[in-house]
Formats: sequence, C-alpha cells, structure tokens
Amino acid sequence: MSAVPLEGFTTALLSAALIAAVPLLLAALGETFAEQAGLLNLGLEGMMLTGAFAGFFVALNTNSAYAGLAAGLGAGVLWGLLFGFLAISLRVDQVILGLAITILGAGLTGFLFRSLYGARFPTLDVSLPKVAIPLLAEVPIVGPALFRQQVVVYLTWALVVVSSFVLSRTRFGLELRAVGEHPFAADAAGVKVFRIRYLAIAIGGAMAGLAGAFLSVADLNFFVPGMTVGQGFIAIAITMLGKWKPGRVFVGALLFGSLRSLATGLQVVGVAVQPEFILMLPYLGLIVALVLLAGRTALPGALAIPYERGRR
Amino acid sequence: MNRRSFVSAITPVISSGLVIAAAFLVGAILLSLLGKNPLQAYHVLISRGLGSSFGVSETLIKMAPLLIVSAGLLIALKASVWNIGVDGQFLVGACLAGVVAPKLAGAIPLVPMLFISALAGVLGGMLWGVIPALLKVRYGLNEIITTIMMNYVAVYLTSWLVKGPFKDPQVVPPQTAVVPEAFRLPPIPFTPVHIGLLVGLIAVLVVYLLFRNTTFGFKLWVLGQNPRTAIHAGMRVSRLTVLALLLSAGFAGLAGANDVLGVKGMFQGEWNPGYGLTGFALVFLARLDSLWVVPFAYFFSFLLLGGEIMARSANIPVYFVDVLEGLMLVFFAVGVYLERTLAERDRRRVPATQGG
Amino acid sequence: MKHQKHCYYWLVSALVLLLAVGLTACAGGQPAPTQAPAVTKAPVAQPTVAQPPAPTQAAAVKPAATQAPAASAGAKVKKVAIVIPASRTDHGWNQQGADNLTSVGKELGITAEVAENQGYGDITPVLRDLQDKGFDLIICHASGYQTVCPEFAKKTKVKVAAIENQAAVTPGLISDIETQAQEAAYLAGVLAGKMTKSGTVGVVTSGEPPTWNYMTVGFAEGLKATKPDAKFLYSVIGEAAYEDAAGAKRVTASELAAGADIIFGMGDGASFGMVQAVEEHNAKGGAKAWFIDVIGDKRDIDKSKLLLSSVLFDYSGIYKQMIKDVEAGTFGKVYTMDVKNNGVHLLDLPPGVPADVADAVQKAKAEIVADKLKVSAISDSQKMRARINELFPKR
Repeated sequence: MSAVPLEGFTTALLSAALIAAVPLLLAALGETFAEQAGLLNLGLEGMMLTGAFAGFFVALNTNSAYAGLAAGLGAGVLWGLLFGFLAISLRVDQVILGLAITILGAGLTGFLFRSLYGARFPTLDVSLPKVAIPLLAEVPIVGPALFRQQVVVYLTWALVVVSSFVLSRTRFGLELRAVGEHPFAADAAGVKVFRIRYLAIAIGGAMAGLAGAFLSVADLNFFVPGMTVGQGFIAIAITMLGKWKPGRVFVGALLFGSLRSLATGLQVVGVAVQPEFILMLPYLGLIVALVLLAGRTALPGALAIPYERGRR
Repeated sequence: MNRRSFVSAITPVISSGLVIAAAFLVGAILLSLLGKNPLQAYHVLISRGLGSSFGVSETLIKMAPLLIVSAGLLIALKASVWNIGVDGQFLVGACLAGVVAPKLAGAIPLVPMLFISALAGVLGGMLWGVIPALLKVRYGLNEIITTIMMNYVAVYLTSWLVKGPFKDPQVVPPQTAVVPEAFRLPPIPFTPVHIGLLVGLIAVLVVYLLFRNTTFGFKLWVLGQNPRTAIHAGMRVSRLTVLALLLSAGFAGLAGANDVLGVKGMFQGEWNPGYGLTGFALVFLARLDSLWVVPFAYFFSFLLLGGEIMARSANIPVYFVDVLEGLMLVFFAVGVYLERTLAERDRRRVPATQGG
Repeated sequence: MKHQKHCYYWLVSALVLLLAVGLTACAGGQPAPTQAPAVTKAPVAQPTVAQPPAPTQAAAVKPAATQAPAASAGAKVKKVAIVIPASRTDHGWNQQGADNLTSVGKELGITAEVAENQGYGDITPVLRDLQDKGFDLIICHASGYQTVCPEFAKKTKVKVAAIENQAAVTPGLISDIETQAQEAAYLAGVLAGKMTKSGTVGVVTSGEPPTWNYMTVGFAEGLKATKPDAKFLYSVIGEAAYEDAAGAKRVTASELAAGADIIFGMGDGASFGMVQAVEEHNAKGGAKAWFIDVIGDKRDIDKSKLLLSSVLFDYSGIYKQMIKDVEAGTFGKVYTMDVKNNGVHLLDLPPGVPADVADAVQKAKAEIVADKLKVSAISDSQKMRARINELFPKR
C-alpha cells in the first residue's frame, strides 16, 4: 500500500463515484416524474442510447458539446412524446412499449452508427470545461473530487433540488402526483390528466436522453454501440429505491456510484478476494441498502394503468 | 359459429397481418434510405426463415426456452408479481443443470438423468427466486429492484462458479464438463427438433389449466387483480406471492436446463441469452392470455432467426434485426389498441351480455 | 366471447403445427421447394459432402461409412465464413478475425462471409445456414465456440476451425488455432518495465476470457523480468464488459491515480474509454502515462500520442494456409500463431522510445524465438490470478 499515493487515489475514486452516478441520476430523476404521473417507462435504456448517439452525432458535426447535449435531450423528448402518444392517447401497453423502445434504441443506434461510420471510429474534439468552485475545490481529497467537475455534473445536482421543489411544492407537482395516484379523482377535480402525463413523460425522456448524451459527449468523447450497458434498468431500480423522491434518488445513485468505485478500489489495492465477489458489491449493496433504508415501497396507485375518461 | 363470431375470430388474423405489414414497411423505408433493396432482403427472410425446413426446425428449437420462460412469467405477472429476474434465474438454473448433467450422464439411464438435471435447473431458478420473494414478504422490498439486482449477482456468481469450482479442467475456456451427445434431449420423432419444444408447449398448457381450472390459479388471479380483495377473502397473500415468484423462477431455471441439455451441452461463462426481455414482451403482447404466447413465440423466434440470415445475406448491419423486433413490438401493441377500439365500437352497437 | 376466441386459437395453432411438422419432417431430405434462388444450392454441387445435409444424429451415421474425410483433396475452396461473438468493428478481437478473413478472401478471390454479434447462445442456426449455402470452411472465432463447432462438424462433415481446442483436431475435418498471445504480451511487459518511471504498472480488463488471461500472465512475467520491484495493479471492469467504455475509463483513471504510468488494457470496445482516461490524465500535466493496447492498431485515433504499443494478432497467414490445406487435403491440424512466425507481434514503437528500451524488447524477442525463454501459457482465471500474486506478492 505504501506505493499508492493515498490522497490522489481516494480523490480519483470519489470523483469516479460521482461521475458514475450522473447518468443514473439523470435517468432516474426523469423516471421519477414519469412514474409519479403513473407511467412506467421501461424504455430508459433505449432512450439513453438514443440520447448518447444523437448527442455524439450532433457534437461531431457541429463541434459543440452543448449542441450535442441539447440534441441528446431533444432525442429523449421525441421518444417521450412517442411513448406518450402511444401509452396515453392510444392506451397501448406501457410494458411492451418500454421494452420495444429499449430494443429499438439499441437497434437503431447500432444500425445508424454502423451505416454512417462503418469501421471508422470518430472521436469528438470537444470538451466541456471543468469548473473549480473557489475555496471548496482546495479542500484536500474531497475538494477536487466534489468541486472540480464539468458544468453538467453541477447542473445535475441542481436538477435534484429543482425536481424536488417542482414535485413537492408546485401545483404542477401536486397535480402530477394526483394523476399518478388517483387519475379519476384528479380528473374530477379538474386536473388535465392527459396534459400532465404528456409533460411528465416528456421530462422523463428528456432526462434519459441527456443522461445518454452525458456519457457520449461529456464523460467520454465517442459512441460505442450498447455503451449504456444496462444502466437504464439500474436507474429504474434506483427510482424505486428512492421512493420517487428526488433527494432519495440522489442518495441511491450516489450509493451505487460509490459502490462501483469501491469495487474498483478494492481490486486496485489488491484485496485477496476473487474479483467476481468484489464486482457483485454494488448490486448486493443496493439490496442491503434497501433493507436498511427504504423498506416498504408502494408503487404509485395508477402505475402502468392507462387512463380513459369515464371508464373504471 | 355464426357470422358475427366468425368476424370476431378473423379480426385478430387480419389485424396481425396488418401489424406485421406495417412494421415491415417502416423497416423497408429505413433500408431504402440506406440504399438497400428491402424486397430482396425480405425475400431472404421469408424464404429462409419460413419457407425452408431448416428455418422452421431452428425456429421451433429457439422457441422452446421462450415458451418455458413465458409460462413462468405468466404465473408471476397474472399475480402482479413483477419478476424481472428471469435472466438471473435462468443462469443459476442453467449452471446447476450444467454441473449435474455431465456427472449423471452414463452413470444412470437417460430418462432419470434428464429428469434429475432438469430438476436441478428448476431448483437453481427457485433458489434465485426465493431471495427476492422472501425480501418482498418479510421486508416489503419491491421485487422489481431486487430481481434486477439479483440478475447481476447471478452473472458474477455463475461466472465465478464456472471459472473456479465447476470448471472443466480439460478445456481452455470457462465451462462445465460437456454432456455427451447421446445424453442430450432426444429429438421429437421424425424431426430434428429436440423435445424441449414439447416441454415448452406443455408448460404453457399447464399454466393455462392452472388458471382455468384450479383454486390456486384463481387465488393468484385475485391477488393480481386486487391484493386487498385477496386479504379480505382470507387468502394468505404472502404465501401466494412467494409461490408465484418461486414457480416463475422455477420455469426460468427449467429453461436454463433446456438450453444446457438440448442445445449447448454445457454451461459456459459469458453466456447470457437474456430471454427475460423477449419473454416479458411476449407475455404482455399475449395480454396475459396463456395460449396466445405460443404463436407470438413462434413469430419472434422466426424473426430473430431469419433476421440474422437476412442481414448477413443482404449485407445489412445485423443491428437491423433489433430494429425490426422493436418495430414489431410497437406495432403489435398498437394493433391491440385498434382491435380493442373496434371491439368496443361493436359492443356499443350491440349491448354485450357479458364482459370481456 | 372467450370461448370463441379459443376456438379460433386452436384452429390456427393446429394449422401452424401441421405446417411445422410437415416441413420439419423432411428436414433431412430435400431442401424445401420454396427456397430463394439466391441461396438455393443443389446438393450435388457441393464439393465436400455427397449427402444432403443430415443434421439429426440418426442420419449422421450414414455418411461416415461411405465417405473418407480427406476425399476432398484437390477441390477448390470457394466460400469461407467466420463466426464472431461481438461486433466486427470493435477494433479488437472480433474485428481482427473478420478483417483478416475478408482481406484473405479478396486476395484469393473467394467469398468470405462474416457472421457477427453471435454471442454465446445457440449458434447452430448460423452454422446450418452456412452449411446450406455450401461453405467449404467455417472459422469459429471464439474459444467459447470450441464445443459447438466440432460437434457440428462431426455431424455434418463441414470443415471447421476452432480456437484453443487441440483435443478436437480431426484430420480432414477440424483444425485448431492456438494463439501464443502471452509471448507478445511478455514483450509488452518488458517494454512497460523499461518505460515505467513511477514503478507502478496497471492492467485493466473488461472480463477474463482465456486470451486475456494468457496476455495478463505474459505481461506480468515480462514486467517481473525487467523490473522485479514494480508494483503491479490488476482490475476487471465487469463480466463481459466489452462495451462498458465509461466503466473502463473510471477503472483506468483509478489505476493512474494509484500511481500507474503505464496501462496495459484489454477491452475491445471498452478500450476507447481506457485511452481517454490516459489522455485526460496526461492533460492534467505531470508525468506522462502510456497506454499499451491489444489486438487493434489505434494509431489513427491516437491524437495525443499516448499509445506505446499494441499486442497485434495477424490471422491472415493462418487463414491462407488453412485454405491451402483444405485444397491439398491436409486440413485438420493445429495452427499456431506465435512470435516466431510473427502471428503475434508488437506494434512498432513510437519515435520517442529510447534505444536501450527497444533493444531490451528485441533481445527478449530473440530469446523467445530461439526457444531460450518460455512464457507461461495460463488461460484459467484462477490460475492466472495465482500466478500474478506469486510474481507480485501483495503487501
């Protein structure tokens, strides 16, 4: 252990934990909106991949990382609206739809990437500046990890606060939850169920797309087919772990990111445990955390149930 | 059958046809945009996938694990138990079957050997299912989260098992000992399709009968409709939940054993076919109606198999198969909507005597 | 209503089953008449197999009596295929096989088909499709295919090449490709040992398939030989995490932060994440870190010049030899790619590398070629871990 520069190593692990948490957090926050409004979006994985590809494609052609992020977000909104149209207006089964989007997202992005670039492997020449927060960034170990990150990372954290505020303190948030819990009562009370649900799924899609674009444009600077490696499903689990509360979702995503970092750290320092058992840690850890922290999780009352006026 | 019932019986056929045509059309547009000839591609898909004995027999072989997995999912989902952990349960079941089968092969006669190996698969699946089930009834943990997590744990656990304790030391890659070909699932007489297909069909039939004819099935159904009703009716909800998840997981494990005994002959590292996703989609497409799973399973097996051949022959990126599969799912889901709307219009015109 | 639906259901399923049974029953016989002209192939025209395809076990007994495996001597090879588990553009293991076969096909003017993204599920349908289309040779490019392919070959008499399965070698039918990747990885280890300034060297892998275990051990042995007191880091990104570029980046960054200044990365698609981690590490200033790649040649995307070398595989020679052997009737042997025959080699070192480093690598290479130096060939994950722990005991 003597040779490992402890300080820098710890900082790197912390930083890795934070960055690993960002796409999960973004996607899970979006899913929180959707699920609170009664829409179960199992298509996060496909939406993230589409966001990653769209972000990469636009950033490559415009040479602007911000344009890339916006494109990822936009692609997510499009998926969200399509999901909304089919699930809300046509009352198509949300589970099939979500899984279809997961499969379609993987297929389309791989198909387009291969068709456009073949065996070439273009990388982006853009970078988002890292912003150091004065003073705080100078705190040893924690400082550089927490307070010297890309703008997107801070924005994501801000989104947690904003989402929390919107969901719990605004009329929209209240209506959103009402729509997810008792759509009939909400409708009777004059809430525009359809409009709220459309908005919720558009937000969900936007954040999933942004999460993907974060991967390809901000964290990395390229696209690899299938690069989200199942994070969409982890994000769904984190949404539920966080009981649809942005603050708790934040904790869940950070926890998962930290456990992944821990798994790396344990391997690097050479703990005499088979790597498979170390690599299990994040997943087992989330279950344990669930037992200790979350406990009973009741799904929103009308989750995955299409709403139809005048029918019960 | 009077005229009206004939019309309502033929409607699904027509709508399915339209749905398939629509999905192919969108796929064709995509292909044309990239300068490929869609007609030529689809010709290969149909002629190889449907119009050749090779295509049909391979489709039927591929169908078996999907049917078995779907049978299990039907039980869980009808009881509103969200078992997303099929993939993990499959892996653990397959791994155990892969460990047990080669040890028994040759030591005992074929039939008991296959039976015990299949049982090992079922037990493996159940072992993986019992954890989220108990977590749900003891601590109220949502099974969606726990089963997703257990999938990943299963990947690492089986990976370790097959690299370490159960690795066949004779070979280079991490895999269990190989079951000699004489001890694999025998073919259905006069066909090259192994009997796993029959197991799958029987599994679906059993689930169908379970819900149609038994009190246990009825209790599960009530639980799925409304847990509060189930409690009020004095049902032991915890026990029912555990049983639903266990049975579902057992089927997933059986599917693992099916692939080990019928197709691969061993369990190997990095093998994770991910039937859960397709199975889930199939069961929902069938609207939890057991028997409808069968034609859907056939169709999607055909699509996956023929799609790959089509992509390869026409020099289209293989990712197109996923595109087509995703499109089919979306359009089938829309088809369900159209059918329902039409049926409702029908019902409004003639007052229905009973609900659907 | 419910009843009627099921009436219809049984009708349709009965029809489908009838059709299916009818079609499958003749699977051993003639190809179905409806086959597309593009893929129809008269069985007589097949150079190697006189019988029509006979996939069932019962039928497989027939050809054995009448057919000597080497009877195909002299027949010209027209179609060769390769089956790969992942994407043919992964800039790694899969692409290497696919590209090499494609270029050999072009050179010899024969058809070379690539079946990509096959995973480790049931690849029999692909093999049967290739058989139907009259392929003369199928290369099963993954050690994970070493059970299914020989079994298929024995049933159908289609010639296959397996990876890392010497036991299956059958004259006239099954060949085996052995890659002595550990030898070139040893050279990479020598290079790392000579180049490291911090004395810490890291290995990052996106899984533990046999090929990477070979290379990990070879690399560790080369490092030990040149820098016995080096600190050796090893981490796995995840099981089969070949696409997890983001995970690869984080793991690599952690190893760099732990003091490593040379990363030996085995990742396929995930490798790009490793490259980027090294890039960002160097951008921060301080001592420069290097990346040693495997299988692919990433020089064209190496904008910031951090690629120290790469362990390259070249299958073209073997593929050509195989085709020749099939035509000469001598197929069915072990083909080895090693440092001696240049099947595995190190990518040319970049200009900045000191002469003594290059000399050390050359010297080690000469010793391997002269059989004076034997690098351990360890494919088993647990034995690999034991070996690296033995070479670099944990503190």
